[in-house]
Amino acid sequence: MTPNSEGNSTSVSNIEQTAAAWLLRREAIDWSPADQIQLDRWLAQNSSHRVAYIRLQSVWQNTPRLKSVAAGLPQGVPPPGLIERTPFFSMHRVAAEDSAAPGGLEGFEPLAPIVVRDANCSPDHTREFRGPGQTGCVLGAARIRWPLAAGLLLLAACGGWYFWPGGTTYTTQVGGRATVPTKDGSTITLNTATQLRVRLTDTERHVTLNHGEAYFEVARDPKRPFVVSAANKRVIAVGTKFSVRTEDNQVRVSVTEGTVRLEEEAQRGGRSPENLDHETAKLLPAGTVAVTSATEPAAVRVRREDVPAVEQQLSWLTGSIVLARTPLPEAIAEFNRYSTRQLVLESDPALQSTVVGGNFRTNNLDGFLRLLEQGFGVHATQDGERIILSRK
Amino acid sequence: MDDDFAAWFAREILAHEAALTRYIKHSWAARGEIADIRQEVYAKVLEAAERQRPTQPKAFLYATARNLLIDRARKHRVVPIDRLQETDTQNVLIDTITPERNATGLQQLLHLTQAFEKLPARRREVLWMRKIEDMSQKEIASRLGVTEATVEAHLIRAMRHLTDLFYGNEKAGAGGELQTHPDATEVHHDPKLRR
Repeated sequence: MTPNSEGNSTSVSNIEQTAAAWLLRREAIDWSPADQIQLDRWLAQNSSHRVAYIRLQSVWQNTPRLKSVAAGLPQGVPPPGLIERTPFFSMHRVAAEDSAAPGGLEGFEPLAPIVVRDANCSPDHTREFRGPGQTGCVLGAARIRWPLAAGLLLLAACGGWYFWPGGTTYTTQVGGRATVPTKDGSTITLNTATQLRVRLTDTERHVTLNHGEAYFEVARDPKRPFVVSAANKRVIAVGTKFSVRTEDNQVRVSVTEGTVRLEEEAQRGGRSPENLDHETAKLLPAGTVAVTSATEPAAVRVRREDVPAVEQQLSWLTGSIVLARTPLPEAIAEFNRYSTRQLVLESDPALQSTVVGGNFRTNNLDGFLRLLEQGFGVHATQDGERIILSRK
Repeated sequence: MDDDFAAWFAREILAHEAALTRYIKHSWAARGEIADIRQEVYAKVLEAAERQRPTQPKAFLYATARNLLIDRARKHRVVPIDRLQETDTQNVLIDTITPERNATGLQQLLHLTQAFEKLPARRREVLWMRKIEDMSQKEIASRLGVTEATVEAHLIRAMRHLTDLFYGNEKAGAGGELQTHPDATEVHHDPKLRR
């Protein structure tokens, strides 16, 4: 008979407490073989001990990896409000087509729960919600509290129901990032300066990416395809993980798991059906990056890479910019996405052809500038919201 | 402890924690007992896997959970058995919303980052000093001007809380407090639990 099936009055909480203490003690410098014997004995005593130990260890042993996320932080300073706290982020309530939506800009409070107030309702209706809703929403970078499960009811009570176009609009500001669980179990992570609308129906889960970039972790549901519209393209998935980014009329799709289908947006009342051309639909397996042009619908460049390479390009998910032999103009364009302070590179051939590498937090513009000034003979001049980079 | 086994257990069993917790919650009314039940399920699975790793870990995990719940329900006479059966048919559905399943390195780091973000300031701070800046508990204590025992207490809380958040434990995520188990002393164990 195993120890576990004997009477056991020790609570899970106490066992976990002991397991955690063991894990800490084991990391101390004075850990001895005798200690190890004691630990082994404790582990052997009861399978609950082993479960608690393995469970805590599986997370604890990975914590040093957090360092890579905080690359660029000055050393010796414990993380301030932290990785996801970006000075440019603010909460913003956006209600699609709802002109009465309050601007909703509030002081950023990294760890405070976000509370939704419906402007049309009495203040007493303020509530915190745990689940994603179907109507106007609030995002916080550091912490998202689930607005409006009952929002529908509030709205209905307030008379807005009949005019509601459906769907929820999410917005991030420049430098912001937010993760949004949707009701179907999927997760959407919005990158800087992104706006999208989510509409769930019985037959389809539809996201319209108005601008910016987002990463989708789609819960499997064969009966309800997950469709992302961006520019004139549709990206269709059943259960998979991929990102969609729009920029300068281009759409870029990066797939990290499963397969997605990329096709032209069907145009209503526009061109003739044959132009919609289902044969141009492309299947993109994991490890693929597809870049399309909005002006030439037929032009889709598909690049096969491996999954780690694609994931590296999505390093913004952990709040970092990974540069690997990246031309300086590209690196600057990347930083500019995350900041209202814009870097401008002088048209100096030597600067234009400089190649840089490194791992930065998206909001660590100053660290990047310091590196350029120290290591690359670059001089930075502040000019209002612009920073001009020239050769020393 | 066998590292390979621990990694297997984390990857194949613990990764389902969020969905498993929902499953137990759905089937069991007493909220205070959820964590105990989950722990008991884990312990059963672990004992079995130490003898021989199941070929279908996820299915085995849910079968274990269901059997345990049925036994408990019989004993307590609180939940009609048929409710458990109904839950069982929803397994597939519940499980499809487990994004952790095939989490790659990057996604794990993403989850870890998100969990870390949700820690209260002090816990984040001590964790950071210990694991990223590699300071000893003693050094942390003198930096913060507190006793070593206090640092250890903070570290333990940080570790447990981070783990709960990482595996998607909703309660910890919402309240920022560790779970307490008022009913813990009343946990019933039945040596004849079926596998």
